Formats: sequence, structure tokens, C-alpha cells
Amino acid sequence: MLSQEFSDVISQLPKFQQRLVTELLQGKDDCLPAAELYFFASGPDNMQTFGGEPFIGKDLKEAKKALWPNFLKELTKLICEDPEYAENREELFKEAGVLKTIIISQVSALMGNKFGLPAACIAPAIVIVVCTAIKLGKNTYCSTYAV
Amino acid sequence: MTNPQLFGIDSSASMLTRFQKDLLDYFCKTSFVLGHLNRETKKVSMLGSCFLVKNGTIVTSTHVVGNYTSDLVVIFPKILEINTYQDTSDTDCQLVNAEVISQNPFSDIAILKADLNYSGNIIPLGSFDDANVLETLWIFGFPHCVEGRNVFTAQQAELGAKILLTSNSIKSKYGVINIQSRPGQSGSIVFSPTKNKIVGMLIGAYAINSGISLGGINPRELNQTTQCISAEYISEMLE
Repeated sequence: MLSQEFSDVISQLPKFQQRLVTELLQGKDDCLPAAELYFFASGPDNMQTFGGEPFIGKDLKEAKKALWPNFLKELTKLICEDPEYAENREELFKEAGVLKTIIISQVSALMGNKFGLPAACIAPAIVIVVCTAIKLGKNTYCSTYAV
Repeated sequence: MTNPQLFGIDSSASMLTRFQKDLLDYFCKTSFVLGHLNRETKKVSMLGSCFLVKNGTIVTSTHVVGNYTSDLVVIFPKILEINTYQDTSDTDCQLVNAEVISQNPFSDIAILKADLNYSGNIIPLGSFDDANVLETLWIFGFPHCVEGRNVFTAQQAELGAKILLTSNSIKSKYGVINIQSRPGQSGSIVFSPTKNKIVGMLIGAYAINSGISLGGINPRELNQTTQCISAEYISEMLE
């Protein structure tokens, strides 16, 4: 069962992404691995695909894996109110410092732009990381994950 | 004197042919190649097949789009009638800009916005729930387009099995069709002529990594186990 605070954040996603995030979080105490699962997802295993640039499937998976630590680091800075994001704070949160009022579309656009990823595709992973911070409490999350 | 019974049979047969022909012409007009435009060379690399799901919106596989976030283009159909000869030496093409608006990476589906419209009724999306095993399905796409060949091709094959495939712990419904696929066919339409619905989209073939590559081909992909995602996952992304 998802908490009301989770629901406030998850409901910002389109319905199909809400379904996927809910399925990924089902029965999990630690939410963060679910964010990784979403970030790395690229279709079923043992599938020889028939499109895209040659071998892009494999490259894409590897590229995403390499991006994840930096992506998480930047997102954590944003959540933990790092001075680097001070200028953006008003456009990223409806209420300053209140995590459940985060505006996912704005955060996705900012992070997508930074990492060259489509905003709509990374939004669910961002939602899961935010839910992790809500669940742990911002202070605990920031003291655990902020570098 | 004309035998009314035979006349009836002939008549319905020609009606069916006309209906099939209209359908095939419809798919000619609503199936496309998705490409990437290199603005410096003004050349287009063809990435795979895609199709119209509603006016202004097309669908393909996420792996067809790859990591391109800009300069995606749809190549406008070269033929509007199925029995037209397609000139393979004609490399001119009309382009329409496309932009990714949504992706489901678990089911390998990408939705794109493109300024493409069809004036008639658009064939609805269904699901592999609507199809029966051993039913004949039609496949429409552009085999070999990634190798530079832009030929709209219609095929038919039986639905061999309905399966659930897992991607990073999320299960999705797939149909296995009994046909060998080639590069360029990802994003092809899978249509049920008996239900008059698009029931799936071609994604790839079952192939475990053999560790061997012959001219870029994994020998284990050379089989008749083509896997197609159920179209219901496309519908849910359009809600």
C-alpha cells in the first residue's frame, strides 16, 4: 500500500507509468533499487531486436549503466537543497523545501537536459528516488546519499 | 443462365478481395520508416518501422529510436496503393519531423508526435487477447530498411504462442509469430484480419547470445520465433 505522500508524487505521472512504478515498488522495503530497474530497463532479455543503429541496444544499456551514479548524485543534490540548485528551487517545488510538492515535469526537464535523456522517460525513476527520500525522511536520505 | 448460388459465391469472393485490397492500401498509407536526419550531410539513416495510431501520433520500439533525442524524421510513404512497383533505386524522400513524447522501456514502446494525418477511420488497437493461436496475422513493415532498402512489405504468419516476457521484473504480454524477421522490421504492425484490429507490434526474435557474430548476425537469431508486444500497452500510453 502506497502512502498518501507517495501517491501525491506518483500521480504526477501518466497512468501507464504509475502502473509500472507501483508494480516495481510492490512489496519492496528499499525503493532505490526500483529506480535503477526503471532507469536501466530496455525490453526483455534474449531478444534480438531488428531496428535502430547497429548494436545500439547493447550500447544504450551500457551507457545508461554508466550514467546512473552521476544521475543519482545530481538528483540527490537537488533533493537535498544543494546550493547548486538554489536558483531553480522556485520552479522545482510548489512549496520550498517540501519534498512532496516537487514538480516532477520540471525536475525531469532539468535532469533530461543535463544528461541528454528524454524528460518523459526519466520521470518515473525520479519519482521513485523522491519516494525513497520521503520514506526515509529528507534528513536521513541526505545524510546517507548526499556526497 | 447464371447459377444464383455460384454467382453469390463469386460476388462475395470479389467483395472480400476488394475489402482486403482496401485494407492493404490503408496500411501502405499509414506505415512508415523512422529515420534520423544528419543535418550536415542531409542524409537520413533509416532506423526501423513505425505506424500511425492516431492523427499526429505514431508508434515504434524504443530501441528503434535509440538514444536520439532530436532530428528524428518519418519518411513519407512512397506508394499509396499496394500493387504499385516500388523503385528501389529512387532514394528521394519526403520527411516529416518526429519527436518522442513517451516511452515504456519495459515493453519497448516509443510514442512519437509527427504531423501526419489520415482522413479516413484509423484501424483500432486491440491486444493478443483478441487473437487465437494458429490464427493467421498480417505483418506490415520495412525489412532491411536499416540497410538502406525502403520497401513496404506485407507478410502473413500464424500466431504460434502467447507468452509473458519479463523485463527488469515487469511482465508484459507478447505474441510469438511463426516467421523469420530481419533488421528494419522492429516497429512493424501485426494485424488480425478476422478481428480487424492491430493486435501487436513486432519487437524482435528470441535469440540467446551465441558469442559468435557472422557479419553482425547472431546465428541464433535466424529462427522463426518473432516476438511482438501486445498492442494494449500502446493503447495505455495513449490514454
